[in-house]
This record gives sequence, structure tokens and C-alpha cells, in this order.
Amino acid sequence: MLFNSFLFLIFFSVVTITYYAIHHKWRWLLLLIASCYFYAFLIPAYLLVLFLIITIDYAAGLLIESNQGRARRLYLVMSIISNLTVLGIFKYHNFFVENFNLLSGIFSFKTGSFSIWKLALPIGLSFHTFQAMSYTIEVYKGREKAERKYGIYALYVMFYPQLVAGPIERPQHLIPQFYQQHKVDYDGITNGLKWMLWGFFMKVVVADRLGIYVDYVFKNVEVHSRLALITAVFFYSFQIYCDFAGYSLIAIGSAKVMGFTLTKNFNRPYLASSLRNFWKRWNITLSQWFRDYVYFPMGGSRVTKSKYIFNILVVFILSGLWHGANWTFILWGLIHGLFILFGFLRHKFLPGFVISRFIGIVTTFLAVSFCWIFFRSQNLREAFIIIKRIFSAKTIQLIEGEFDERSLLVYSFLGIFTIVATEMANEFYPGKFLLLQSPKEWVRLTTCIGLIIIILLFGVFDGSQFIYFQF
Amino acid sequence: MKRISFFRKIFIIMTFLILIDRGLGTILQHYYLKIRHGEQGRTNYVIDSCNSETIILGSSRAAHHYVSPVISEILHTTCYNAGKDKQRLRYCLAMLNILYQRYSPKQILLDLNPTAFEVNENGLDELSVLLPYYGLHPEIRSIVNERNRFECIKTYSDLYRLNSLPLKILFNNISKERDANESSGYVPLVIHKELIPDTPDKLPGSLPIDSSIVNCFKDIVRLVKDHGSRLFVIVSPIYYQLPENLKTIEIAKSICRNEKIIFLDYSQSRLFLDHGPEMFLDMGHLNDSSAIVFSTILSRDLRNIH
Repeated sequence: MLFNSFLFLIFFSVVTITYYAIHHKWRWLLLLIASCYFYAFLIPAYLLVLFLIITIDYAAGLLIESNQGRARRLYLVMSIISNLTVLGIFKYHNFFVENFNLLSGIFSFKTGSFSIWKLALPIGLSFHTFQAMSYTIEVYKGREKAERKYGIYALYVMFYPQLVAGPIERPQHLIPQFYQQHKVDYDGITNGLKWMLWGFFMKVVVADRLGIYVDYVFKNVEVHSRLALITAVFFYSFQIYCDFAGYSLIAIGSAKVMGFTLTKNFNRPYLASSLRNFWKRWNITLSQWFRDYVYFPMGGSRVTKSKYIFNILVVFILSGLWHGANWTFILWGLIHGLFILFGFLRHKFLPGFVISRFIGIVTTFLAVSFCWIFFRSQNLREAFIIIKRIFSAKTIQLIEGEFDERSLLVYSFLGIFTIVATEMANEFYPGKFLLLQSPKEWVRLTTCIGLIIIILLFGVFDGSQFIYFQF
Repeated sequence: MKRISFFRKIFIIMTFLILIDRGLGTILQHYYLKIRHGEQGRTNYVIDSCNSETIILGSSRAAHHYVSPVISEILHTTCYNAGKDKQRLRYCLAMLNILYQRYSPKQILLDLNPTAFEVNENGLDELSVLLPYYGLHPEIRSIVNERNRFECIKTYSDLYRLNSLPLKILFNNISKERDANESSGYVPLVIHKELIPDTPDKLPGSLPIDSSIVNCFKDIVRLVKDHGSRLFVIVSPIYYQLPENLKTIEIAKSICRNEKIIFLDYSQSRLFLDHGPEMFLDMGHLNDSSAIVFSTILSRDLRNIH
């Protein structure tokens, strides 16, 4: 089910009202059934995949806790391998087979070619496998007790607001909340609804509007001018941010309405003054996952310089691979890693060279936008065509046609302006220019009404998917 | 106390929302219906003013291939091109439903896309262009409601029906472009949008047939016959090699044969394909000068049939 569908509004209302209406001891069951319905809406069979992961990790958690020494490690490794195998089958099998077949063709291996599997990727698979893995790792490290109730553990992995695109929650943060009795908290409900409203605005008014132009240009990159390509890349930077951050806000808001607190996943990432700072603000829970479970175990930054460089590159390449089984994602991750290392080298060899925050924000945004070219392209060829044409095309025409397209561009720029203005106000003047959180009631109400009117009038209601669902 | 305050706020928000939705919706709709330029102007003109004897219906291929002044001149009739970009048969059915509330054209030229009956993976989003007329024309509601199962609820909001249109309403109301009826609805294509190969490619693999679209085609045939108009189903040239026995064309031919409707297939006309890409603007569309050639050939054929 998509957050930006009318069905979700009905689903959310029914689940929330029922949640508060029934006794506390049955609420987990309601949420579990609701989450199953939410997930099964597109391909019901993939509930089996999800429950396979849940069952393996539930059992692994209990076994890790009840054993000592090498056995604990063995169960952890088995759990991780199981999760990665599921990911490998659905997400990476075809990628590796294609590349293996290509290499065997080039070097004439006599292995016979492997076949491609026609499997649809379960929505949000990478998110919930990572969340499941964080549970077994935390139990192994002794920071979390193994969950005894299968239903509660299943709900930890499947909790519908964050099931398909995060935030990736740690067990010690989310599981205890399922045991808490949430009473009706009107302030919490109001705040949750406001976050949802702003999330819907980001998604349907800004992201989906920008997506129309981005799709138009990326569909046929070879015929578009330099200006059109630059505009499309610039739009995509905001599209993916508003799409993903919008999703996260709806997730956090809908959980808040029921009394749950989810981890903040975005913190004005395009106002980061360096790539390192960007990754502390973008998809925060995923960055923390890689930091805690990959980067730190490899030694982090407290190693030799060559090992540090290796660690950074490995983490970012894995992060790219996490997003998708395509060389474009791998290169996207690699370039991010190289930019981080470039910043590290600059600090090391030019310690006195300080750039202003404004320049830092602009250069970081340009670097991130450049990387999005690889992220959005279907293949490396397309990405390099875009880069080549940006630096060589001559025409300046943006888009052919008449008012339809002109109004599309006006809406797009207005949407971006609204997002940038809001983020800058929150970043540089915290506490001032409050609208949804204003101390004056009439300002809050007017803002809510205005946002709903804007969503009705300017939202894109074609039921488009969230970009991060594919991961 | 907090509960009362919460529900009081909800009440205030809902009240103002309904008032603004109705008030702003009425104003925007008034100005939307006044548009006489561009895409919206053409649709408004067809819906509320057009009284041409010949009406051309179909998708962008209809809008850009049928030069209505040429057809008017050769057939000695008044002709308006009501084809619309990105639209398909359901839109044609809706337009006919609206037109027949006002008058019955003598003949309808329906341009059929060679893959018109195949399942469309994009759903029925394109029917949103009919939303501004949803309140005024109950005869199209069942067609618009096919967009999704909640459409009949969503359309209670006037602002939803005018979604994404405020700027178009503003631009078109202040525009000094010529009126839509001055061009008889024909929209020439002059700007290249994609690269065309030197020889036509094979049509990409076909999708399954959507029986609801076939039924829609049958509804069009029935509606036109019931109102005493003459229907011509035409497949205009396309820069693809079409396979023999293409399902859509076979089904359409069969229906036309049974209903005694004239079916004219120019899709693989050598006159157009043999000249390579120069007669086409993209794979699916003729350029302006080729559209004039096609309209002339079609009109002469129609004259001979008459």
C-alpha cells in the first residue's frame, strides 16, 4: 500500500481508531495484522519471505542468548548469512549472473551461462532485512535481550509505518514501545498529523511534480540540451529528497499518532557544509547502521591511513550496492567515498584552508547532485551521456510545447523555493518563522488549511511509488 | 479539555476547508470554462460550442495527423479536430457522450492507435483531463470513475477536480493566442522530440488485449450508430513495421465488419514509410507537411466512399 493513496488514509484512520478503542493487550495483534495487510497489498506471496526472515532471526536471537562462546557467534553468522541469502536471491542474483556471464563470454570460461531469474523484488526488502540483522547483532553484543514473544518480534520487523522504507530502527528503541500502554495524547496526535501533512506536501506537491520533468528528460537524454539536463539533475536532487524525507515524515507522523516515536531520518541534508556532514543528515538510520555494523568493526578511523581509505571506500561501495544491484549505484557509492576522502586529504594537507559555510553548502550540494546522475541513470552509459552533454551541448531550450510545460516548471520552482526557504529558516533561524508549530493557534490552523488546499490543488495524484520502495 | 480543543480544531479546519473548496472551486471552474486557447480551449470549444458536421476523435495521432481545413475543403463539410494528446478510447467515448447531449455530427472520424486495445500499464490517469467537466456533465461520470475505485469520493472536492490547473487557467485567460476554433482544432507538429532511425523498427512486443477497452470501442460504435452519425475508423501512418494480424487491428476490423462500419488502414502505407524518417516527426507522428498529404489522401478516399 502506498502512503500517497486514498486507501492509505482510510486504512490509517481505521487502524488508529481501532488501536485506541481496543484493550492494550490486543494492540500488538491489531498492528501485526494491519502491517500484514499493508505489506501484502501488492504481492501477498512476499509475506512468506518476510516471515521466513522473521522466523530465522527470532530463533537466532533466542539461540544466541542461550549459548556461550563460539556457538553464539555461529548462530549470529547463520542468521546474517540467511538474511543476506534472501537479499542475494531477490536482489543481487541477476546482477551477479549478468556480470558473470559477461565475463565468461569475454574470457571464454567454459562454465556454461547461468540463467536470469524473473523475480519481482519484495518492496523494501533491504530495509527490513537490515532492521532484522540489527536485532541479532544487538542481541549478540548483549545490548538487547532476545525477544520472547514471536508476535512482538514480528511486529518489530513489520511495523507498517516504517516497514518498506525505514527509518531502520534499533530493537532497544522500538520493541519496548510495543509493551508500553499508549493513552490518547492529543498533543502527540496533533503533532503526528502535522508531520504527516508536511510529508504529504513534500511527496505529492514537490517530489512528484519534479518527477514529471525528470522522467521526461531522463527518458531520452540524448535529445535534450545542456540546460534541460542540468535542470533535470537539479530537480532530481530535490525530488529524491522530498520523496524520501516526505515518506519518512509520514512514517514518523503516523507512528506518532498511535503514540510511537520513530528515529528522525533526515536533518536538512542539503544544508550540509561537507560530504561527511551530509551523511550525518541524509538517511541517518542507514548511515548509522553502516557505521555501527560495518565501519566500526573494520576499525573505523583508528587505523593506518591506507586501511582508513580502504574502510571508507568499502562502506560507501556497500552502501551503493545496498541501494540497488547495478553498477550505477556502485559508482554512486564509490564517488561519494572518494569525495569524503578528498575532504579528509584537504584537512590533512591544507589544515589552514578554511572555506566559508556558504561555499561549503553550495559545493556539497553540487557534489551530491553530480552523484545523483549515476543514481538516477538506468546504466553507466546513460550517466556518462548526461555528463558529456552537460559539458558540451549547445542549445538552451528547456522544453518544447506551450503552457502545460511552463506551468509545470513554475510549480516545480515554487515547490523547491518553499522547501529551501523552510529548511533555511529552520536551520539558520530556529524558533523563528514557525508556522505549523507557531505559538499562535490561528497561524497553525491557517497553515494546516493552506497546506491541505495546496495539496488538493497542486498535488500529483497518480499514485506514484516512493523512490526508496525499490530498495 | 484537550479533547474538546482537538475536536474544535478539527471542526474549524473542516468548515474552512469545505467553504474554500466550494468558493475557490467555483471561481476556478468559471475561468477554466472561459479558456479558448491551447489544449483546454480546444476541449472547451468541442464541449460547449462546436457544431461541425465532421468530428475527428482520437489521441495525439488524431490531433496531429488530420488537417481539418483540408478535410473540410475536399469533403465540402465543416470539420473540427477534437483529437487530444495522451488520450485513448475512453476519452473519445466521453467526448461523444457530451457532444450527443448537444447535437449529432453527421460523421465521426475515429483514429485508432494500432495498439489501442492492449493493456495500458499507466492505468487511466490521462482521464484526469475530464475532471473539470465532472460536475457539469453527469454523462461522463461513470467513465471518469473508472480511474480508480475512490474517484467518486475524491470528486466531491471541487479543488481536486481542478487539480494542477490554476496556472493554466491564469496563463490561458490572459493569453493573446488565437482561439481554438480558428485552427479547426488541428495542431501541427514541428518540433523534433526524439531521434528516428533511417528504417522503421519493428513494433515493440505486444501486450495482452484489455477487454474493457474493446468494450469501450464497441460502446463508441453503438453510440454513434444510435445517434445516426456515420463512423469511419481509421489507422493513420506510423513509423513502425507492424506485424501482420496485429491483434488490435484484427479485432477492430472484425467489429467494424459486423457493424458495417468502414475501416481504413493507412498504418503501413508505403507512400509514407518509403520516404524514411523525413515524413515523420517521431515514431508515432507525421510532421505537418506529411499530415497535409495524409489528410488529402484520406479526404479523397472518403469522398469516393460517399
